[in-house]
Amino acid sequence: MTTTATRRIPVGRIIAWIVVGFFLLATLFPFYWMLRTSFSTNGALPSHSNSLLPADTTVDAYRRVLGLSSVSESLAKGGSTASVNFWLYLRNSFVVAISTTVVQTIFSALAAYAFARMRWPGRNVVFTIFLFALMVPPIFTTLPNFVLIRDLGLLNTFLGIVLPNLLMSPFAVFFLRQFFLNISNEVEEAARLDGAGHLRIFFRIIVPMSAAPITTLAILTYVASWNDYFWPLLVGQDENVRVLTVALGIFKAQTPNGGPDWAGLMAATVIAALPVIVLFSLLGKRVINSIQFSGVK
Amino acid sequence: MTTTSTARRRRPMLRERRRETWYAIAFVLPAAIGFVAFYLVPAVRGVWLSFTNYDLFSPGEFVGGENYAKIVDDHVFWNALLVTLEYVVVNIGLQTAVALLLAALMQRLARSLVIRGILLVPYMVSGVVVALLWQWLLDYQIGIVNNALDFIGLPRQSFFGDPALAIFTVAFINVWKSMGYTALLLFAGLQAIPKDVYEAAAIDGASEVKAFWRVSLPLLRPVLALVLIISLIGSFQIFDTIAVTTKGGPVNATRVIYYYIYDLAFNRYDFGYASAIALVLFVILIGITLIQLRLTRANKSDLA
Amino acid sequence: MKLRKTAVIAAAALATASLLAACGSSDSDSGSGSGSGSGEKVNLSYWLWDANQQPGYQKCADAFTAANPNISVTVKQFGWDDYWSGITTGLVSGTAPDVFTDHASYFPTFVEKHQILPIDDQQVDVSAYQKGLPELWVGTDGKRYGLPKDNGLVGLYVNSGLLSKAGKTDADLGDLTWNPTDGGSFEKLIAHLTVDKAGKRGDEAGFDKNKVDVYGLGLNGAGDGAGESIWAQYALSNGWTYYSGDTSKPHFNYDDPKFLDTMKWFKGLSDKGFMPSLKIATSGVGMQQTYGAGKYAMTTDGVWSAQSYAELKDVKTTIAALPTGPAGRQSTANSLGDAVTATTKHPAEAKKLLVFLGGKDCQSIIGQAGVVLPAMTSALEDAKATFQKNGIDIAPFLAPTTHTEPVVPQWADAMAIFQPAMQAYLNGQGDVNAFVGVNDQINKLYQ
Repeated sequence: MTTTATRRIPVGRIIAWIVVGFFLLATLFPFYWMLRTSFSTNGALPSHSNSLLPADTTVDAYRRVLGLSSVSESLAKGGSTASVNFWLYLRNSFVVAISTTVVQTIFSALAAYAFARMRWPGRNVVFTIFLFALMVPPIFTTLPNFVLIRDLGLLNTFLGIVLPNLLMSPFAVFFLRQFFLNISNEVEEAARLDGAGHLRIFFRIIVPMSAAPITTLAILTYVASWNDYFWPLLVGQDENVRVLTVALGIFKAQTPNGGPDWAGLMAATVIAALPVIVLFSLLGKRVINSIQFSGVK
Repeated sequence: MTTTSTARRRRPMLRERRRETWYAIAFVLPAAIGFVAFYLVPAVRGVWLSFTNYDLFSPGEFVGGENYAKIVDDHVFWNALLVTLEYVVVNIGLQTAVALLLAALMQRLARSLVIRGILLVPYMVSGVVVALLWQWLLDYQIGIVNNALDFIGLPRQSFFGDPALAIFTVAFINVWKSMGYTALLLFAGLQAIPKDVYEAAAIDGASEVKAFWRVSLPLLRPVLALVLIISLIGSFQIFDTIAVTTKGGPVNATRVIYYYIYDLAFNRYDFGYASAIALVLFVILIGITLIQLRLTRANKSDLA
Repeated sequence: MKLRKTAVIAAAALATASLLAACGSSDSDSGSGSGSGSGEKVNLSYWLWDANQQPGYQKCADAFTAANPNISVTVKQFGWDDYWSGITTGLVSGTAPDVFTDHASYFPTFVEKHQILPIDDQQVDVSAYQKGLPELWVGTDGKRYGLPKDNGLVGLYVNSGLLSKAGKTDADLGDLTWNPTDGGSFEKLIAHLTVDKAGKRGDEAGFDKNKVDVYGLGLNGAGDGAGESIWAQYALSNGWTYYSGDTSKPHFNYDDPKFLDTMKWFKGLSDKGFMPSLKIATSGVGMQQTYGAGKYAMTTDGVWSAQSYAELKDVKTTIAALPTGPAGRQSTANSLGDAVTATTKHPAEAKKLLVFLGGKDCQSIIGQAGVVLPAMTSALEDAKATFQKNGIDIAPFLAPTTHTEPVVPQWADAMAIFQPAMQAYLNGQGDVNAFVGVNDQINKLYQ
C-alpha cells in the first residue's frame, strides 16, 4: 500500500512541475523578447525576426529613453524627441502610487470592516449601492471628474492625480469585505469582552489577521496606480507631476502612419516596470512572512 | 477603558447599538465621500445625459427616449454585445480555469515566492505595453510565434486579422496578462483555509486532487465569487487591448461594446447616445452580478 | 507592536496627504498667471502629435518668440492615440492648448461645433501654397480656419535588392502603366516580384499562391474612405472622384463603376497571391516592418515615411512614381494645418502664431528639417536639398496630379459605415456591389 502510494506521487508531482514550468516559460518568454528588442536597433529588427539574440546589439534605446542622446541622434535611430527625465518621473510615479495605495487601503479597509463586521441600520442597502460603483462605466466618470478636478484648481498637481482614487476603490472595499466576513466571531467577541473599542478591534485584530489579503490588495492597488495612464495624462501634463506611464506614452504612436520606436518603447517599459518588480520582490518576502506568522491560524 | 466588567454588562443594548452605528458611519464616511463625488454623481449625470443629445461641446437638449429607441435598430450595438459576450465567456472561462490550476499548484507544490512573483509580472506591466508586445510576437510575417509555427510545419495564423480568430487572440492576451494576478487572489483565499480542514481530509484518505475538489473549492467559494464578479465586470469593459491591436476590426469582429461606446463619445461626439448604451451595459452588469451573487452565495462563508 | 506599526502607517499617510496638498497649492500658483493685455507677456501652448516634426516646430516657435518678444510658446507633443481625446477633453473643460495641429478628418467637426476660430481677419497669401492645399482649411461656412503646413504625397517604395534579383532595374520603374482590366505593366511587375516558398515567381507556371514568401506589393490595411496611399491612387487614375457637390452637402461616389472596377482589381491582387490578404496585412506590427524584413518587394506609402524607409537596415529602397492609369497619373494630396481653439484666452496672439507657423519662415525651417514636404512652393527647394542629403529623391512624389482628400462634415459617421464594408469586401465577405448600398447609406447622412 505505502510503496504504491510513494511511487504514484512522484508521477503526479512531475506532471505538476511540468505544468508549472510551462506557465513560467509562457510568462517569461515575452519578457525575454522585450529585453531582446530593447537592445536592438529599429532598422535591424524586421530583418532579424528569427534571431533569439538582439538584432544589431546596442544600448542606444536606453540612452534615448534616459535622455542621454541628442535629439537628432534619437530621430536618426527611429526614436522620438521626447527625452525622459527619468528620475523626476520615477519620483512622481512613486509619490502617486504610494500615496494612493496607503490612503486608499486604509479608508477602504475601514469601510469594508463596517460593512462586514458592524451592525448598523441600512448597512446592506449602502453596501449594495457601493457595489454598483464597480459597474459604473468609466466613460461616465472621466469627464465629470476631470471638470471637478479643474474646478478645484487641482490640474497639474499630485492631489488632482490621486484624488479620485484616494478615498476608496469599490474593488478594495468589496475585496476586503469578503475576507473580513471569513474571520470567526469568537476572536472579536473575546476582544469586545475585554473592553476593546471598534478602532482597537480593527487595528489590533482584524488588520493583523487579514495581513495577507491586505498586503495582496495593497500590491494590486500599487500596480494599478503605477500603470494608470489615461487619467494622469489628462490631469498631470506638467513636467513636475508627469508620471512614468505618461512619459512612456509619448514614445508610443508618434505618427499615425509610422510604427512606434519599438526598441525605445521596450527599453522604456523595462525601465518603468523595473521599480515595481524590485519593490514586489522586496515586499514579497514580507507577504510570505505575514502569511506564515499571522494569516494562518 | 477603565470601566469594570460589571458596569459594562449593565450597559443597555440600545446605547451599544447607537455607539456602533456612529462608529460605522465614521468608518464608512471617507469612502462614502469618494464614492459620491467620483462615482455616484457622474453616474447620475450619465443617466441624465442618456436622455439628451449632448455632444460634449454644447449643453444638449432633452430628447426623451430617442436614444433608447435608436439602440433597438442599431445592428452594430447588437453585434457589439454579442462580440463582448463571446470575449467574456472565453476570457473568464479560460482565466478562471488556469488561475485555479495555478493557485492549487502554488498551494500544494510550488510555494516558492520566486514562482509566484514571476507569474505576477505580466500583471505589473501596463495593458498598452502588453498589447504592443503581443502584436509584435504574433505578427503574421515576422512574429516569433508564427515563425515557430512555420518551423514545426504548421500554417501561419493571422491572429489579429482573421475575423474568426481576432477576439480569441484578444482574450488570450488578457488571460496571459492576468492569470498570475487571479491565481494570487485565489491563492490568498486558499491560504485562509485552516490547515486542520486539510488534515481532516487527509485522515479520511482523500487524495490531493479529491481534497481540492471536495474541500478547497467549496471553502474558496466567497473568494471565487469575488474574483469572478470582479473579473467579469472588468472583462465587460475590455478596451485597451482592442484600442491598440485591432481597433474594432476586422469588419466588426472585435468591436466590443466598450470600444463602441468610446468611439461614439469621443470620436463621433454622440455623447448622449453613447451614454444610453453605457447605461444598458450598466444594467446588464448589475443583473449579472445579482444573479452571480445569488448563485454563488458570496455573502455566506462555510467557515463563519 | 502591531498597533505601533499601524500608527506609523497612518502617520505616514497623513504626512503624504499634507505633502500632496502642499505640492498642489504651490504648483497651481505657478501654473496660471498670464494676463491678456497687449503689452503683457503672453504664453501660448501649442500641441502636435508627430514627434519627428517637433524639433522643426520648436525652431519655428523660437523664431516666433524672437520676432514677438512678448509672446512665448510652449510646444508639447502627444502620441496620436491620446491626442484627440486630450484635445476634446481640453476643449470641453477649457484647458485646451491655444493652438494645435489639426487633421483634415477632424477639422469639419470642430468647425461645426464652433470649437475653433476663423482667421479671416489675418493677412495671408494663399497663392503661395501648392495647388489644392489651402482649400482644405476652409470650413463649410466659407471661412478660413487654418493654413496648410505640408503636402502628404504618395509614391512607390521598391526594395532594390529584390528588384535586381528579379532581373529588373530602376529603369523598369519609370513608365509603369495601370488599368483595372489587366493591371497593365504595373501588375506584371508585381507578379514578377512575387516569389513563393519554392522560389517560383508569380508570373511563372506552378506558382503556389497559398505559399507566398515575398509579396510583390504590400498592403497597409483597408484604409478609410479616402484610401490614402492604399487604393485611392488607382481609383483616381481611373477617372473617379470622391464626391460631387460642395463640401457641406457632398454626394459620395462609392457606387461609381470606376470605383467598383478598381476595387475588383485591387482585391484580385490578393486573390492571385501577389498582395497579402487583408487578414495577413492587418495581423501584425505594420507594413514598414514587414517590408523591412524583405517580405514585401514594393509598397505604396507617403512621403512622410521616406525617412523610416531610408533607415531600414539590410534593405535598400528606390522610390518611384505611382503608375499611370487610364486617366493619367493621379494621387491624393493631404495636409495638416493648425487651428486656434475657441477657448483660448489670447485669440489675437494665437492667430498670429498660426499664421507664422504656416508662413514662409517656418515653412522654410520645416523644409530644411526634411521630415515632410512643406506646403509652400517656395520652401520645396529647401526640402529637396535635405531629402537629397539623406539619399531620398522626392521627385517621384511630385509626378502625379493631386486630388485633395475629402474634408466634409460627419466624416466619422460616414467612416463608421464605410470602413467595416471595405474590410468585409477585402476579406472576401460579400460582393463588390455591396458598396452601392453603403454609398446610399453614407449619402443619407447629408440629406
